[in-house]
Amino acid sequence: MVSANGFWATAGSFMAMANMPVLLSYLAESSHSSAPIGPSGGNHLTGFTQGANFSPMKNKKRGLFAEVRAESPNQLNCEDGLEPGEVAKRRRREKQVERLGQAHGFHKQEQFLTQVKSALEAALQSAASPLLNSLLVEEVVQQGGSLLVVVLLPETAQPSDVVPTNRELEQAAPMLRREVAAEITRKETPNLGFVVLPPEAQRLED
Amino acid sequence: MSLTITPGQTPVYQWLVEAKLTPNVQRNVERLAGSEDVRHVAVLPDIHLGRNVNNGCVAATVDLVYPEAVGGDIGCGYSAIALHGSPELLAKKETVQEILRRLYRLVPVLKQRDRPVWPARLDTPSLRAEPLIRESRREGAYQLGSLGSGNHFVEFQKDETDQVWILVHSGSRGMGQVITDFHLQRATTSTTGLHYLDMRNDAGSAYLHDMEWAIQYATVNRLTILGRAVEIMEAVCRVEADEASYLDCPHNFARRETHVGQTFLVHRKSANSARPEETAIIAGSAGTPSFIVRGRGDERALCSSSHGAGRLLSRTDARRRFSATEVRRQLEKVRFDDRALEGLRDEAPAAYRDIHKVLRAQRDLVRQERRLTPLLSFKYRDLRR
Repeated sequence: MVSANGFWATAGSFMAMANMPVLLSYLAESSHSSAPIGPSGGNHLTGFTQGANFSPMKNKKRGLFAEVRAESPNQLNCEDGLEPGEVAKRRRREKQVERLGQAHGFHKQEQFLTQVKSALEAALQSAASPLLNSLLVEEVVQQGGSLLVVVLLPETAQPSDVVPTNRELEQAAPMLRREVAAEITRKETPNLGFVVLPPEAQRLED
Repeated sequence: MSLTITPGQTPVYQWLVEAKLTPNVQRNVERLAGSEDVRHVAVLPDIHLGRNVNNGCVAATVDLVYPEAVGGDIGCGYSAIALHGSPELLAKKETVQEILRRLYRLVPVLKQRDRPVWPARLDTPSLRAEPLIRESRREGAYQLGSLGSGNHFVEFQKDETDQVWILVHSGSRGMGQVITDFHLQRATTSTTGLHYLDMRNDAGSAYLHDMEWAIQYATVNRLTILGRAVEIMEAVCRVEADEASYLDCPHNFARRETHVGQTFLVHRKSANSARPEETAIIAGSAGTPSFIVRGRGDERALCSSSHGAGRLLSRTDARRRFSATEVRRQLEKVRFDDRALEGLRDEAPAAYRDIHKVLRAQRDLVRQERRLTPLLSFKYRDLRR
């Protein structure tokens, strides 16, 4: 069994990424897989049986996982050639420095709000309405279970533009929420509330 | 095997482990067999209660398609690949910990942190309806390569020759459900309450087209997970996969097939296709062996076999009956992440049928070719609870 206590304590066993030449066997038939199946009943390996003379490198590129792998597995990892124990120690030290003076949860929340902010900025920039294009996301803050988005009007705008901007944002809220949902990795996307500030608004710091 | 003829003259062939079906399951079988255009039903030994249509049921129609007889997780199935390595690779506790740690990072439960590679085969052909295409570009893109929860798993197993295999059980994730819901809204309600679409018009053909897409998506999803597991094994244990051994075996789908000279649309919900000499995978529960089998092509079962052991107890009953200590005892020969134990009580091996009895009950349908014994199991607790 893998015990709970020992699970994270074994970072020292972290091994360097393998960078071995790939020796793939493109056999058309094997004793245990003579008829791989699918709903169409076809042999899924047909595409791979034609390359018996490929070099190992070519084989890897045309291999089974080629279409779902982002980068070549042959690529060198930054940790290759380093002593695994040293890598683990360095990582532990880096983590400790990062967390000095703040709780881990606070840091994650900040990260999340930054993600939402950049998603909203991108969504507003690409919106169909010129009014939305001109807006600037000043801040995103947590308000209970939802998020409050503070939006700043452009310098050329009038204070009377606050009301129509608010209306436009309310209408675009579902679209903006969808955009946020696509960017973040949370089970549920928070609801968005909007506060539109006139161009001359200034933040009062304590 | 037993045969029952319904009042509507539909033959229902049954291969059962138990003497008879429980009342709720029986009611669902009768409901399916009594629905319009259903010409033949096969009940497999892993049958258990499912929403509207039981899991472990096969139904043949001529003109109508029943999305509920395919299930929401369209294309759900198993993928397996052998590694050039022996079980000693997983003997060290530290190695297992490292593999699990990397699996948690590379195979998420719900969605990926970064948008994964989108394979070209999912764009040609694409889905038909605009809302579905939009959903596939958003949720679908981020869910590709995620495992899902419940009984979806990645297992490292060994065969009789001491070769290590990786077995993945996953499906079309949220996309399958979205596609099913979208088409069910356009479906007609049958006299039994099930919903159907007519394949002779656009609604039915659109469902079949989108279902094919979801099957491809599910296959790519499993391939992505398998690729990541292989990548982890390459990095941690320095072993490579034997790509020629790759198997993909969906068990939630519908397909046009010819049986006894007539063409049917065969719906399989949690059932393998088992045409003569066709390879299929039948997985046991977490603590018990899985099997690679060959079909015998029994027409009475519409050339099908069970997909697994089948639940005996509902998730709630299993949680009520088995403590974490009891589950640990049942899984004593399998390595897994101890911290997940409490959440895996509903997946206790004893909540499933004995896989050997299930195989015996369907000896007319498949023959065993390879036995895979579990070494390391990786799964997430059921998030629907």
